[in-house]
Parts: sequence; structure tokens; C-alpha cells
Amino acid sequence: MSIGYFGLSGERKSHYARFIRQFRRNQKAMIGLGIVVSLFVIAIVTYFIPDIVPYDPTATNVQNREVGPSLEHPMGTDNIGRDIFSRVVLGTQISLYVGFTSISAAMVMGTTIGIVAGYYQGMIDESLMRAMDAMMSFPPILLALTIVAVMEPNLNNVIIALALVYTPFIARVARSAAISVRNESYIEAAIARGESDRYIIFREVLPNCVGPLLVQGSINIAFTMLLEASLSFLGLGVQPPDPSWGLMINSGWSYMGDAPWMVFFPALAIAIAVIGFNLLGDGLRDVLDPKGEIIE
Amino acid sequence: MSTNESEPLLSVESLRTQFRTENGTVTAVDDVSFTLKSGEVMGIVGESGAGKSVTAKSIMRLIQSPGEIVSGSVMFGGRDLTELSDAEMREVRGNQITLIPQDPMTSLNPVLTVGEQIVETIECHQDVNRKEARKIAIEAMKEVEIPAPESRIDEYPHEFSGGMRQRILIAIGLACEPELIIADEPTTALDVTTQAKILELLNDLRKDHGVSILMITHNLGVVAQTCDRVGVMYAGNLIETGSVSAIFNRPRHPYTRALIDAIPEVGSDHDRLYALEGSMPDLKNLPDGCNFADRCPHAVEACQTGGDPPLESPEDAPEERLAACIRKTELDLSTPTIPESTKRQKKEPIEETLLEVSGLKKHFSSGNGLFGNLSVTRTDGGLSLERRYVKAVDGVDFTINRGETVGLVGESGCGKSTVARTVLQLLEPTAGEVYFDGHPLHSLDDNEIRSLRQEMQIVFQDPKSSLNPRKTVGQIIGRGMEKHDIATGQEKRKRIEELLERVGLQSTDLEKYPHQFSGGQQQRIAIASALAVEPKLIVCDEPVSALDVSVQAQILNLLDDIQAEFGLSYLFISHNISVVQHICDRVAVMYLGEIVEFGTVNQVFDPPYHPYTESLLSSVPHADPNRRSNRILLDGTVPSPLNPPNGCSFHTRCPKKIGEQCEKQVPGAEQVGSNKTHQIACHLSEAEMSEPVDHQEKGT
Amino acid sequence: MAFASYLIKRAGFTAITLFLVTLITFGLTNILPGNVALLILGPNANEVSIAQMEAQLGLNQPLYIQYVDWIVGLAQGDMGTSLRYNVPVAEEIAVRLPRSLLLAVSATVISVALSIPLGVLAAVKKNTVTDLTASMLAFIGLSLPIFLWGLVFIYLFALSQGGLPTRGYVSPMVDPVEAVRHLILPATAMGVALTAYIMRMTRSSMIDELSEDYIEFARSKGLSERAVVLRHALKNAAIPVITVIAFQFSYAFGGIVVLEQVFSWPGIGRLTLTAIENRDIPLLQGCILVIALIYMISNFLADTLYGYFDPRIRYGGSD
Repeated sequence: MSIGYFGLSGERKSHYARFIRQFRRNQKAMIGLGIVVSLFVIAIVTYFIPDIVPYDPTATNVQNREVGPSLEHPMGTDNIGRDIFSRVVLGTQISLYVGFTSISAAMVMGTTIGIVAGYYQGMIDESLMRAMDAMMSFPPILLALTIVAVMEPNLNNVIIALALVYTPFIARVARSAAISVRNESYIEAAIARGESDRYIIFREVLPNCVGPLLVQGSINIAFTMLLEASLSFLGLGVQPPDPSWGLMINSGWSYMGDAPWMVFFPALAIAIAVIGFNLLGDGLRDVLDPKGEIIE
Repeated sequence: MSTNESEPLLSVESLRTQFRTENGTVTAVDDVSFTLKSGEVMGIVGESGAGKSVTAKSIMRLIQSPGEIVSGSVMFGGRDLTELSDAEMREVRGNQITLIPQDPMTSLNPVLTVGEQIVETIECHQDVNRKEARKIAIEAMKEVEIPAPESRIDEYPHEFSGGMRQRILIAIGLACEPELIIADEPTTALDVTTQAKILELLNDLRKDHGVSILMITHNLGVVAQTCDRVGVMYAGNLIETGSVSAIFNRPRHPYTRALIDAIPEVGSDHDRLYALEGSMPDLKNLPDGCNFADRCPHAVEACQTGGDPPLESPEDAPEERLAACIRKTELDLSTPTIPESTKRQKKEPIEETLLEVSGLKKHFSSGNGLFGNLSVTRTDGGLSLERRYVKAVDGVDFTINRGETVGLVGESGCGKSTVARTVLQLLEPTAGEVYFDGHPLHSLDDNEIRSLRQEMQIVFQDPKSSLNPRKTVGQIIGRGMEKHDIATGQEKRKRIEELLERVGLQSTDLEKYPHQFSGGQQQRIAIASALAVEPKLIVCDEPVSALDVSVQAQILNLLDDIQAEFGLSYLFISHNISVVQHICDRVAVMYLGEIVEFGTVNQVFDPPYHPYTESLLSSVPHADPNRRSNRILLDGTVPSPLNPPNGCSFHTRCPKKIGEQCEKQVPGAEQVGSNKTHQIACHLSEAEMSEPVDHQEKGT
Repeated sequence: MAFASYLIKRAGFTAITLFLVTLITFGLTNILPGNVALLILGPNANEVSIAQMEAQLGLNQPLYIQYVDWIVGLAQGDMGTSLRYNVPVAEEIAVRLPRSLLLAVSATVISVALSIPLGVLAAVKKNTVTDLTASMLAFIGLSLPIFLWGLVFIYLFALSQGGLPTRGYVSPMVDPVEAVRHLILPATAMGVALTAYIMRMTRSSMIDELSEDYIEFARSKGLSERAVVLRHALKNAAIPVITVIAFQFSYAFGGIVVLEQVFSWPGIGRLTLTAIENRDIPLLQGCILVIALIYMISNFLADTLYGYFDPRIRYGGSD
């Protein structure tokens, strides 16, 4: 509406400038961002230029199986001779894709539910929150397992399951942010101006809830990586031959005695990704939400 | 411990405390020196950010990283406190120097009993066993007049009212018989009537124990009524010290003069308040020369350079009289400064009713959620489940005419804010009628109310919270104009700029964000935003309570001017009687959800009739040491609105209670004398109300 | 009386949530694809026998009747019969559940014993090296999924010829020493993974506490820093931490599902996985419901403790 009228002036940017300045100063955030960006770069580059990866991740070479880390195979080969390094690198794509898509979906659903509940309160709030509580009564992995088993285990269904599982967590955060914003006087001022509920929710409440939501989103992406790994390990997540890190651990588990690198490197990849997103989330929290309304 | 009378008890010399922030070093206390004699009460007064709290905490060495005491000394009992080790300092704290903190609601640990918190101080500093410590604690509670201390000592803080908790804090402060008590804004968080009781208590304790008190406050009235000497702080400097009567009769520093002028005095004429321009400078960016020069009406060129003026005695004054101004000797500041514009224009009262409220009620269910307001109680037949309601507003009638300001005054919890919101239909009334400009708001549907919203706006107490931090000032002010089709595009921008200038800001400010402004400026933006839709009525809900006294005066003047220019009506809500008396035409006094008295400001306050009004008025500390407050102290505390008393709601505390009639019968609003406009809800006759109360009766 | 009010309200909420949980459980499990009757009878069964089996299993009735039947059964302690193994579900779970509880409780005890002191220490020494080290250690804990910690521990012990068993379970009733030996690796693996969250929560809770007004006032009374932290801050900080511990306990049950697979621990987690593989609906329903129930119970306990320790809730009174 009228926002565009004034254009992007120097003063308008002051919010973002302040945010970026504080973000830069925060070590955790910068390291986390560094890791996350690197992962993205790897994923995107290998997606568009698949040949950059030294070996075809699905190419088997039974002669060469269970070879330890060497110059040719920096992470060794697996039990049917596939190069682990290439598979780990490609696994990045899958992990990021799963993480981002599922959490984006969870954010959309969770934010809607949470903000509506927090803004209207009363019966709407009660019923929505009871439903969210009920969903959170199941340990995430159990819920995800059941959902994936109900539909067929494949990549897209894993994403759907994860999105459903994490929606309540986002909803809680959105709700508590909405409640604290709702108590601010500018909301009352908007009502006194005669604004419609829709306007207030979208233009007054939502923009002020972004902080805690971003933090929770980042932390939740880390969760999805853990969860996806667990699902794939059980054979109920990403299916072969897609190289998910969890799946690699699944196949490598029985060979741990002879070829521990089959488990070690994918595990390392998981650890790095999870740490990266957690650091980013923590750093964002320091900058955006020092009060701490986030659930771990 | 020094027994020599002329040797000061506390001697602060050139104290400097700094804080490292990411944007630079802030010198919160800059070269402050003063002394305090044994048995003396000294006030340190100043606005927020002046450095008074930091001074107090520095004396007690409670400053932690990123702050530190950079230089200076604090001599106490022959030792320099800044040089003591941590362990030695801990022996002084709570023992020889104690602190009474500002907020009684948050200074007590909620999970420990009151007794535990008193006893631990005693056990820490005195060589007694648990049983003896407990006895001492009970004695201390008796001293501060907490009833039934033997049983209440094992209760938790949340079971006490605010005033009681403050007494507990005082008891803790007294328990080890200190030589010096530092009271940090001890009454700011309390209601006026409770404040009166605490100040009486402090006075008595000081007489009985001979303890010295360093009283930190921003309230000159409190200083005038309780202190012997006072020091005034501004932007980290101590700019004036002297005895209370000397300072009030003839201040030597222009800031002190301005501070005194900015306070609306109960009983004075409704003159325009003298208001300083601008606000305290940013402590990270202090000017060369005197920190006050930018705002000083008496500044000369020499003031702008040469560093802070030294704190010295003017030539024609005794030694203890000190001021930090290069013109201290020549200026005669003994009379109030007359503001430039002459007396406020008395507007012609229009007899046309704009707002009419009758029988308004608002009951809230207590607790949250589905089962929130249910509670299990023991009755004769066993347990029972019942719904409880908070009767915030219980039958209120008043009117507002065009162009008039009607005030709603009362202490916290009396329901005045709820009345404001219910009138504006921000809350749905439980019962009653509200007519705005002829429209029956109570029976209109949402859409119809929405279209009327343009005509009634509201300004809130907390300016920071009333502006959306993610919008620019221009967007905030302009939104209303768009919404109600008043202006768009270029026209809108022009109007926004005009409004900004009208409220004392700059037209270029429309591109800035709220956080870039000070509290007073934010309140101006909020006022501009309310004006933008061209309302007929503006509800002002404690609009100046969160602001410093000098800024308060600016905003009150602004509200006055706008009213005259635009012919607005105000519903002015406040707990501050002086402010209400200054700005309102008619006023209603509220207690526990009901209006006990309503009339013009003169009719209600001069002289007061209703016993509550009388008590309220007597509790206000006058910023004039020559006028001693004759406080009428009320028994007990305000009853809970969950369970208001039968009959007259004030009867549990009324010093003029008749008897059974007050307990059983609700007094209706009756006219006083021949004045149609003056109504009182009380069973006493006019003559009985005019009798003075026996002031010997002390409240609890 | 205030406490009773509070408890009754919490019980009310829990009841509603419980109802919703049963709905979700029933709903999820009945959307499972695959014909159960077919699974039991084998791929060569003909239509008639399939229909017969379905009738026998009560699968041909409308869903809501199946739901009500199930609920009624639950109320009597009957969770149906495992389709695959033909034993009462309730019995199977009753046997397996204590083993999982043993594992979950041990893991929680280990993690609480580690994380609370670490968290307090990190909070008190905020932003110093101690804090950074403790926080980093905690970080590592949460960077791997629980099952992976299991694998790590197995590997480490296999490498060092540790001598601790890496699979299987021995009942403490039968042989306490062996029972503990079998418990050590899985419980520690899970304990390490849980430590991170509890430690971070404790740390942030303590940091919030230490910035409260009453802490500064306590200092102004001349109390030693130790008294301030332990007597004043910790008690308050404990309250939200209790909630987190309850939540973590439930999260532990999630981890158990996979961890039991890794360690061949015959608990309810493995049972659930088997049920999913076999499309064994009654068994799956029973397992999921019990696990969710444990979460709700531990939450209710946490609420009760919370209310007990916070005098404002326990004694009510003005405020």
C-alpha cells in the first residue's frame, strides 16, 4: 500500500543495518552462518555441476571395496566400492533440501496456528493449543516414523512427516511471541483506529514476531537433520540409492569393525551441519531475542 | 565509628563511575562530592539518567562489570570503602550501610519466606543463633508496623501487599542497626496513600533510632517533606547542594529552579507550566562546558566552554551551600520563572455533551483459560466450585462536554484505566450505557463502532510500547489518515510534516524509527498519531506518568495548546493529583471501581469533601518545605476487587465512618448544596464532611 | 486450597489432551496402507478368507465403532491382541515397558547429574573460558542423533576391548551386576545426548535468575556470592528446569526407539518398530499410546512439582 511510496530511503534501512551490525559482532552467529553457507554452496554447486564430484556416487566398484581413506578416496570406499567422499558431498543436497523444505512448511503452518491462537486467545487458543499439545505428546521420532510408515517411505513423505512433527514447536513459539506483542500498546492503538483483525495480524503482529521465529526455525532445521538421519538409519527415511547420511550409516553399521570410516564420515557431516545450524540459531537469539522465549 | 558530632558520617569525594558500552564509555557519576552528617537525612534528587542510583550503588560497591568505580573515595567510619576487599565490604553491606531498594514487588525472593530473608541478614552479620535471630526479626517487623509478625514471619512475599513488602524491606534494612540507610526511590512504586504511610514511618524511625538516611528520589515533594539537606544531580554531575529550605527558597542553579517550576502544585493557579526545552544530553556525548548550558535560560557564552563548572559556594552564602554554576552569585532565582506565553487561555466552556456514561460496569473473570476463573473453596457443605469475577468497574456515571477536560483520578487498581478502555469499546462493557455524540456505543455492532473510531482516540502511558518498532514515524502517523480517507499521497505527507512540527518535532523525523527518539519525543509522536485522524475526544491514560518531571511539563503544555487549537475534549486519567488539578476542568475521584466524588476541580479539591478525597489530597507531598503535609493515614489496604465490601466500598478504611449504615447501604451519588455539577457518594452530611479528621490516629 | 485448584485445572487440561491423543493414535494407525488380513493370511489367500478374517478382526465395522470399542477396551486394561503374535498387547507391553523405563530413567539420571552442575557453573562464570568450554561440550552432545552416540560408544568399547556388553539385556532381578553392565553403554550414550539440552536450559535459566532484582538486593545485604547463588538463585531457576527434565524424559523415549535397535535392547521401542514393520495395528496403537501416556504423566508430575516448589502457586494468596 503506502509503504512503497517513500521508497527505500537511508533511514528505512536502519533496522536492518543495526541487525547486521550486531550480527557481525556475534561470533557464534558468524561461525554458524559460515558453516551453513558453505553447506549451501556445496549443495548448489554439486547440483548444477554434478561432474565436479570426483566419482559417481552410485558407481560401484566391488574390487575396490572397503578401502580406507587415501589420496584417491579421501574418505575411503564403502562395502560395494562406492566413493564415500562423493556420497557425503551429495548427501549435503538431500539433508539441506529435507531440512529447508520441511521447516519452511512447518513455519507456514505453525506460524498461522500460533499467531491466531495468541492473538484471539480464549476458546480458539485453548483448542488449538490442546491439539498442539497432543501432537507434542508423541516423541518426534515416533510421530515421524508412524507418519512415514503410513505413507510410503520416500523423500517427499519424509518431508511431509517432518513438517507435521515440527509444526507444534513453531506454533508454540509463534503463540508466545504473538501474546507478548499483543500486550503492547500499539496493538490497542490499532484497534482504537478501527483496523480490521486481518490488518493487525499481518501488519502489526506478524512483523514483530519474526525474531523468535527465525531462531526457532534455525534450531529446528538442526533437529530435522537429526531426525532424518534416524529415520534413514531405520530404513524408513530416504531410500537407496539416494545418498542420505543416515542411510550411509545404516549400510555401514554392520561393517563398523572392518571399515569404520563408512560410519565415521557421514557422522561427522551430520555433526557439522547440526552444529552449524545450532550456532546460527544461538547467535540469532543473542541478537534478536535476548529474552529467550524459545524452546530447545 | 565516629562519635564526634562535627565529623561527617559519610564523605564522598570526587567519585567517578563509568560504564563501558559498545558505543563508548558512559560516565554515569562524574566527580561527585558531598558529605552526610550523623542523624541527617539527605536527598539526592534528579531525573532519570542523572546518576543518582548509580551514586548510591557506587557507595555500596554494588557496581559490576561493565561498570566500575574509576576514581574518587568514599570515606565511612574512618575507612575508604573503595579500597576495601570484597570480604570487608560484605561486612559493611547490610550491616553498617543498608540499602532499601526501589521495587518492593521484585526485590524479595518469591520462593523464600519473609522471615528467612530477614533472618539471613541477621545471621550473616551478628553472632546469634537461629532462635535469637528470629526474635530480632520479629522485633524488626513490629517496628515497621507489620501486624501479627509472629505468624506472618513464615509467609511468602506474594502474600503481602506492595506497601507491606516495602515495610519488610525497611525491616531488613534496620535489622542490624545500621548507621546509614540508603533508600533508593523507596516510594516510587507505591500509591500516594501508601507512600504517605511509608514516609511517616521513615520519619519516625529516624527520630527513634537516629539513623542517617540518604534518600534517592526524583520527587521534589518527597524531598521537601522528609529531608534536611538535598543534592541535585544532572547528567552525572552534582550541581547543587544545601539545606532544603535554602534550596527551595532560593535555588542557585538554573536547573534546580526549572525543576521546581515544572511541578504543578496542588492549590496554585492553573498557570501554564514553565517547561525547559529539550532533554538531558546523551551521557556518551556530553558537551564541552556546562552540561546544562544548552537548555539554560540564563546561559552566557562562557558557559559553553571551559568544562563543568566547579561545585563551590557562592560568595554571599554560607559554606555548606554549593552550586555548580558560573553565575551562581549574580542570579536571583528566588521567584518562579514566568513562562513566555501569558496565563493559559481560559476557554469558554461549551455546554454541549459529547460523551455520556451511565451505569458502566466491567467485570473480568479472574484467572486464565477455560478453567481459569473456577476456584475450589471450602464451604459448610464441603468443597465447592465457583466462578470468580474481578469487579474492576462497578457502576460509573459521568459526562464530558465539548472542549472540556474531565479527569479520572484514583490509585492503582481503582479501575480508571478500565473505564477508559470500556468507554472506547476496546473492552466490552458488562453493563451500562455509553453515548458518544448521540450514538449509543453500547448497542452498535462492530462495523458501526469501527466507523466511529476516528472520533475517539487514545494516548497511552508507555510511549515506547505505543509505537510499532517496525514502522517509521511517518507510517505510524499516516496510517490513520489513509484508513479513514482523510488524505493520501502528497497531501498526506504534507499533513504528517505539519503534525510533526505541531507537536514539537521536525518534519524530517517522519523517516525515522521510534527507537531513535527519547521517551518524551515518542509521546509526542503518539499524540500526533492520535491527532492525525481528527478526533473529537482523546483519552489520555496516564500520558505523563512514565516521563521525567521536566518533560512532563512540556507534554502537559502541548496537550493544553492542542486542545485550545482544535477544540478537543480529553478524558484524562492519572494517579497524580497535582497533574489532574492542573490540567482538568472537572474531575471524578475513583475508588474500587466506583466514583466517589465528581465535580469541577475547585469543587472537589478546594475544599475536599469526601473522606477519601480528603485523605488522597493530604497524602500528596508538597514541593514546598514551608507547607508541611498534614497526612491523613488510612487503615489497612485497598480491598480486593474480587470481593468488594458490602455497602460503601470505602467503609473498611474510612476515618469518618458512621457505623452500620456505611456497612450495609451503598451510598448513591447525591448533589452537594445547590451545585448541580458537584456529586458525592457518601452517607455523611455536608457539615460532617467538613469537620477535620483527628490526625493523631495512625494507620497501619 | 490454591494448590488443589491448580492441580485440578492441570488434570482437566491433561484429560482433554489425552482424549486428543487417543484420537490421533487411532487415526494414524488406521490409515496404514496394506491389508492386515492379507498380511496374516499370506499373499495367496482368497477373497473369502480375507473377508472372514476381517470380520473376525472387527475391521469391517465403521471406524468410529472401532474407536469406541478400542477406548472401552482400554478402560478395562485391554489393548487388543497382537495380530502378528496373537498375544494380548497389554501383556507384551507390560513385559517390555519396565526395561525401557529402566533405560530412560538411568539415562535421565546420568544427564541430570552432569548437566545441572555444568549449567550452574556456566551461568555463574558467564562469558569466561569455563563457560565457553562447558557450552562447547554441551554443543557436541546435541550434534549427533541419539542412536549415533550409541554407535560411537559401541565402537569405542569394541576398539578398546572394553569388556562391556554392547547388546542385550539382563534383568536386575535375575543378576544385578550383569544388569548394570548391560545398562552402562546404552544409558551413557543416551545420557550424553540429553545432557546438552538440560545444561543449556539450566544455564539460561540461571542467567535470567541472576539478573533479577532480588539477587542484587541479596548482594546488598552483604551475603556471600555462594549464598546468593545457591540459596537464592538456584531455587528459582530449578522451577523451569524441572519442566525441561520432564520434556527430555519424553524425548528420551523417542531416542529409545532407535537406540534399542542399536543395542538389541528388548524394550518397547523395538516392539514399536516391529509393529510398524508388520502392520500390526493393535500392537502399534498400544505402544504409541503408552509412550504418549508416559510423556503426559511425566509432564503432569512436572507441573505438580512446579506448583509445589513455587509458593505463589502452592499457597495462592494475593498478588
